[in-house]
Amino acid sequence: MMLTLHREPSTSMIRLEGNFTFESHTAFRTATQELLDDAETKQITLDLSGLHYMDSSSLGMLLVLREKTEEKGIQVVLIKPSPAVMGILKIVQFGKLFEIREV
Amino acid sequence: MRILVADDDALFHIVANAVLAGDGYKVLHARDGQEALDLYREHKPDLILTDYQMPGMNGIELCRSIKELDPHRFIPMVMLTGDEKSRILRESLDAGLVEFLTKPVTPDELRLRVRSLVELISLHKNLALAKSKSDEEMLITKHILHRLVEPGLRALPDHIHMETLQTERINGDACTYQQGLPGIHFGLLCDATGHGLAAGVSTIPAIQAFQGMASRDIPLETIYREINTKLRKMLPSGRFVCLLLVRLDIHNGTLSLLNAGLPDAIFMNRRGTVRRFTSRNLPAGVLDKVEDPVVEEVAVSGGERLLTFTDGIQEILGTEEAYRVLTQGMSDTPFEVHRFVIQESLNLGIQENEQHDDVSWALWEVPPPEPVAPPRVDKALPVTLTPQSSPFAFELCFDPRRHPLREVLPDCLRLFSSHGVPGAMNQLLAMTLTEAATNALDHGLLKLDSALKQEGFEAYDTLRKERLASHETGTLTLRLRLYREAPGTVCALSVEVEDSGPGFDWRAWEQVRAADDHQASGRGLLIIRSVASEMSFNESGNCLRFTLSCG
Repeated sequence: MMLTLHREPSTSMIRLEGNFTFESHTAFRTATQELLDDAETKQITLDLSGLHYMDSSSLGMLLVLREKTEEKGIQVVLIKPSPAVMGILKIVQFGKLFEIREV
Repeated sequence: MRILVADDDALFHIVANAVLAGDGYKVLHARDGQEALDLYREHKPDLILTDYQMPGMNGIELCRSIKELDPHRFIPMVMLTGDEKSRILRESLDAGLVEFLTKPVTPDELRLRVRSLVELISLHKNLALAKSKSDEEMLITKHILHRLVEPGLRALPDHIHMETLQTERINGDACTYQQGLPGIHFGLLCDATGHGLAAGVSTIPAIQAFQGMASRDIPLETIYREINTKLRKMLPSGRFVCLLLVRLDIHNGTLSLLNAGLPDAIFMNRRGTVRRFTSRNLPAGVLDKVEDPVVEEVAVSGGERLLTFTDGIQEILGTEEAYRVLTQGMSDTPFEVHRFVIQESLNLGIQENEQHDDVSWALWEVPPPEPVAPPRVDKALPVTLTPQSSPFAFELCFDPRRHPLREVLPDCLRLFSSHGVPGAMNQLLAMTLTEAATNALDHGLLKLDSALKQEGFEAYDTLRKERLASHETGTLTLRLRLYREAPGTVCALSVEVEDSGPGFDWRAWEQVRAADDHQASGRGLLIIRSVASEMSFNESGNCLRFTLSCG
């Protein structure tokens, strides 16, 4: 998976491309930790438009991120999932946990 | 560490011995290929240094012979060559050679090369050790998981099939079955996050909670809540279990389903019309508390089918393709054939695609409802009951406002069925006990007048709920006694249901009943009377006694 971090004051965006699986664990954690450590961060946007696939480990990583951001009052928004990825998010009902913007 | 040196040059033996024995290795000396092979057989050295040019067998032939002897052993072999190296490179490719050293070899060069190979050997050994350890742990976990679900799968009735097609590793899939009360069937399909031991272990609490609760006929949403709480407590964050719970109640004609994170379950009626049950719940173990579990229910009358999968189906057949191929035109195919088609399609799919994930699946068919009145009950047969012959009896006292009947009765029935009460009789007991206990609660404790029902069940139900929620207290006492003739055969069950209320005028009820058989009140008592070999009230009318007998 390719991960690109665009930092802006308060709102940062992480663009994910390829297959989001367990192998991406370290890259994802490092990038999100950097944002979590920054007291200015108010919102983290994950751009999923380039993702083909997410496995259950990557869903787990989103849950861990959600727990950490909740403690700090940071909002996580998932944007532009492909139909395949949206299907996966729907099956596990992640719409109940995250704001998902399909466009 | 043993090193075999094969060379017809005595001088090289002296150098090799000085360097290698000095470094603490045991050195074996061979003058030609044949001697080297004999020494190899006897001592199984860890590393071979061989000259290419030797009388009889050359170095490459020696390497090939050793490889043939021990094709699976990792043995680095070093070839000592002169200027023929470029010529023999090609033929050494399949001889398992690791390195070349060009003569003349200096002691330092030899020492350095051997040290790095020894390092490689020890890495290789550690790796093999770690792999065998992890293989063993995998086997043990597989064994435990298998033992956990096996009793359920062995008890599967003919109209339900479930299985997990596993890859070599553990991927966190499991499925099992549990019989609830007679005529009620429960199924579980689950898939834990990730792969390997961690995933396998995560499903264990879910399976155990399911088995314990389904056997007591606890509602699906309660089972799901319990699994969620258990997993949330036990799993690290980010780990969860997707699952699908099914409950089929044949007598009441309902199929209930709770999908939490698995692909759509496909329901087909007899005409082949398909309805999908999409996941509407979060996987278990995600949130501390589940708000409102979504359980969906369909009415069934026999012949309907339900097909469910874990998400491994995606890489084997593709989920949508699987739905199309495995359901179209299948509604009038016999169950066994349908099951066979699914099994074959999955096996074929697995052969064609490399399978990385497990897949679990289940196919259910709703059997036609059994006749309600079990023929095994012989009402006319008089039973002589002697308390001495009773090996098993119990009394249960509870406040039905605090402990609802639907939670207490299954436990009673479970207790009897585990003491040899046959299914048909237990079914009868379930029916009569429910009628008697409901009667005692509604009329004895809540003091509801049956006449209200004639004004409409809704008014009756509203008042009933109001009174149930009040702070008054009162108890029901159930006394159940099991009689056996010979060991293992149950001949009769006597039941007493007593409430702490003031009692009712049963003589008046008998008179009204005799005059008009069609009024709504007291229908429960009539049901009991129709199947019990005897039924009576105590004087004050707060205790009903009846006996069920097996002919």
